[in-house]
Amino acid sequence: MKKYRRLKQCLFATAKFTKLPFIFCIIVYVTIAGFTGIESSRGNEKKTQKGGPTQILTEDPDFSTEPFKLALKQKIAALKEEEMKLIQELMRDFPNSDEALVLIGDLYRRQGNSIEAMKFWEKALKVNPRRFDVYSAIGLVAFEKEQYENAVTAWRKALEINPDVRGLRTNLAQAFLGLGKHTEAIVELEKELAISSQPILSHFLLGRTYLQLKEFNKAKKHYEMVLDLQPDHIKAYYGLANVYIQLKQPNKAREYLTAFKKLKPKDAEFTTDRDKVEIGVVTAHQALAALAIGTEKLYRDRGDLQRAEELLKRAQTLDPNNTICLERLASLYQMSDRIPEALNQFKKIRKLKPKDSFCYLNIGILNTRLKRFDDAEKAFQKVIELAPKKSSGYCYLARLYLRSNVKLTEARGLVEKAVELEATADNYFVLSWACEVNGDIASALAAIEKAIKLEPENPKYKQIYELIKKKN
Amino acid sequence: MVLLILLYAFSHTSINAAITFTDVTEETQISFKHTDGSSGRYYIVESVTAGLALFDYDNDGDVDIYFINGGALKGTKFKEPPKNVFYRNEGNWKFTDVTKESGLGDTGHGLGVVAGDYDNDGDLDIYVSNWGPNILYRNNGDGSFTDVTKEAGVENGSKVGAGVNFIDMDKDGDLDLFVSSYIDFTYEKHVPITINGIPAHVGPRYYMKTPDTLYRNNGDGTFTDVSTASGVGEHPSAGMGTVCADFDNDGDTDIFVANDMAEDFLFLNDGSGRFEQVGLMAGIAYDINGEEMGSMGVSCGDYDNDGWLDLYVTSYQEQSAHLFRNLGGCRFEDVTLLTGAAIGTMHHVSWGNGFADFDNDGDRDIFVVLGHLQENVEKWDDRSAFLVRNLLFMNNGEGKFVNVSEESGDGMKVKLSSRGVGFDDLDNDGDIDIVILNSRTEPTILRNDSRSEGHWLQVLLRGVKTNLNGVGAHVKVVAGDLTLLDEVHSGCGYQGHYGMRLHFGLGKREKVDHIEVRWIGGGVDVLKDISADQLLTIVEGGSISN
Repeated sequence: MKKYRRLKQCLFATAKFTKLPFIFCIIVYVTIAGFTGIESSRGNEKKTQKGGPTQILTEDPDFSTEPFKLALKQKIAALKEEEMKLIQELMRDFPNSDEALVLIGDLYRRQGNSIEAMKFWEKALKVNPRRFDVYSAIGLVAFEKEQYENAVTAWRKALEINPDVRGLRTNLAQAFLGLGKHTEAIVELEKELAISSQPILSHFLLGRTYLQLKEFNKAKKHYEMVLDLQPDHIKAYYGLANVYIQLKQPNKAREYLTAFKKLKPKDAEFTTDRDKVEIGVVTAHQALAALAIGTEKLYRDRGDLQRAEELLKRAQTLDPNNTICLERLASLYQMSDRIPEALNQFKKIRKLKPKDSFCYLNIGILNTRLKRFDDAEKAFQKVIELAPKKSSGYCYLARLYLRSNVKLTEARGLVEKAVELEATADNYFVLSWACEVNGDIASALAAIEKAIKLEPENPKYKQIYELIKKKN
Repeated sequence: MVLLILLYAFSHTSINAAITFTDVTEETQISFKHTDGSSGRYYIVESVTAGLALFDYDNDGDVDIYFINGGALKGTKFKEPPKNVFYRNEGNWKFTDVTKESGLGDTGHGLGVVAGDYDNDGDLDIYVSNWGPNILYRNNGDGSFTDVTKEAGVENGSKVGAGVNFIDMDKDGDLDLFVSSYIDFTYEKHVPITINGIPAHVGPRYYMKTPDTLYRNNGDGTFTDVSTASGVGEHPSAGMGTVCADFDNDGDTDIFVANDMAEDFLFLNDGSGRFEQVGLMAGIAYDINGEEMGSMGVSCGDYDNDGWLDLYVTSYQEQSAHLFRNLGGCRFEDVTLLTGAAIGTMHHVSWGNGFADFDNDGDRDIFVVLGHLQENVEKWDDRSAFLVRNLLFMNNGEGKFVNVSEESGDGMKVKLSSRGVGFDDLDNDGDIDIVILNSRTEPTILRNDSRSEGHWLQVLLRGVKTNLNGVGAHVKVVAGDLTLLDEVHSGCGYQGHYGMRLHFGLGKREKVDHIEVRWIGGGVDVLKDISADQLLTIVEGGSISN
């Protein structure tokens, strides 16, 4: 299945990537999420598809009965009316906004009406021909319809506008594979490897393509790269088993097939429309919620926080499990200095995504602002547990100790680990701080020098450098 | 020189519309109308009915048609309960409804069908799979059939039936019976759903899986359930289409089961009727990504003329159909992307399918029928549709397929929601015609009007010591540089039956150098220097019958 699904994942990965550099700062994150609105809302769509609104009626409704049909019709009519009002509001308040047109296009797309979606996206391109994300969406629709030539054209345009966008070359490669153009696909996948930090899908597709082209050693190399990056990548195990069968190494093949079988039950995703058990109008609610979330962004950008909040609250009612909505509400509350309310949103997200380290990081940051030391400490410790190879948990826990003037030696150890994982200016800055409070001025100076080197434009680092130097 | 290069390039890339199908449904006077038993409740069993059978029940030399029908499910209102309908081929594209006199008008909720001479009395009997008890009809040889299910012991409980096959699993000369089952469904277990507020059919994952059944023919008109002893009963799943063939060329018949949203099964026969499920090791259980397919129908044929039977498996929306190349050594490779054999199937639901050399050029093409099972799919997904045109992929002889549906006559313009399909030479003119069962409406009959000048040979087998129709027999045809392989299958496609009369396209070759027949449980016969363009009946032992 699902060239389609993988492609979507690839696009979502793009959205995630744009967030990453800003992961430490909610406010900046909000700005970025606003910038990448289409991807964010699509990311949400994917989540609802995968998790699926899995409500099963305890009673057997008779769909053929008039009361049931009437109730459904009324619900749908009410949603349509609300949707229309919101569209009209968008067009009235943002008449020349390409983003508004994109949002309406996205709504139709979520409703499965790609023809209407294309109309609005094309209008958006007339307003702003530089919207690479719109070309990307157009490419995806063409790809899903097996119109591979059209997909290639759209994705090439997207890449012309923004050659650095992650995942698009992988999409392009998949369209080439659909056309049977393996050489072109390999070229694009290799380019993707050069720019992407987590090119799992590109390696996987290279493995699969080389397997088909009977270049088994190359296939093996790429499948192994997938497993290096994601050790539970079930499809790579299957691919490797097939490679080893072709290489006449049955024992190795069996080994990978055993691993594949072991992981397989976990992979039983509910993906097709037949699998998405839904009673009522869950999908329609989700589509309207996504439109409300997108619209909120426009009002927020023009400073109308009240309307933004109304829209987010409505979205939350329509789609209570929408974590993007909760994140945006949190950021809105934070902008208005309503920290406890912001914290509550992340607590809701924690229930929905108990393994989301980003959520715990925000819980820690907000608790720090509320001066709830123990809660903040627990949250940052959880971040380290969930994402031990990312520096954020270590760095923020160190900051907490430093601010609270406790466990100072431990703080230094934590931030040293953070620097080891990611040598960023911010991590060096905190290391400098930790060294300084532990009395190691030479190391503090050395660390802040590295921060300045990495971010020479940051005046804060220079000031701190001068202060430490004076102390010395 | 330039001209030569251009000519060469043209000959390898251009698609000459060599295949033409004409819709002759009206001409046939066939008035059968399928029902899926729907009344707005969206039971899962509505969505999967039904297959059809093409076979010569009266041994008059032409192929008759048996349509399987859905039943009067809860909530429906029919003046008369819908029933299966049987048509006798009168020749010249005229068919007569002989349901009543044949006694084949079962009113159960029908899904699958197979024909085979289980009692070796010289005529083809019928087994029908239903939601509810299945039915074995013994052919009385006088145009009528008798329901012998109970005495034969092949009722198979009240399961949701699926693909069924006659197979001589133990090479003892009589036909055993493989019965696949879909899921455990009763009205009480119905899972109602909506999509965007619109009632819809749920998939199989919300029901318990059920194991398949294997019956050994006792040789006295009765069967014994050997599902456990044979090993096939150890694997509950959601069976749909099935085909039995010798996939590893070891002289016995294996079983392939297409399972809906679960791994597909390849039951490898050890020659005695004991089977091992080797789908995963064979590379046939999943697609190239290791993902379960929403498998629907399956057919087998040697598309690349390498002497190994390949498999084509259709699937649910968001997955394309799949072509698996048989590499030998019990290994298959998913060559869907490499061959282009499924472009256009991705956003539809694909069902019945088959390999057949429609243009008699010496390689097998692929025909696939489509149609969504969600009648309102367009309301939430405009990539797909309930009513869809079917697809024809022409084999270019170089390992690739080209979608020639647009250029292949008005027969390819029919837009319905198809399920079962069968392929045979209905007018005995040396090319393969098509019968399609469409959900909720009339069938489509396509006459092959291709202008191909290719020669052909049709082979009908008559077993003597082995089963009477040569089910499972392997036939190799060698004509100059061309070597073709086929087998007699009883049951294939989407829960249907067709093609007991083997058809070989020969291209420009006017004669066949030799034919080799390897009988299941018997010897090998070789015939030499056979003229093309004829129907040849080969009797076990090597003689030719007229």
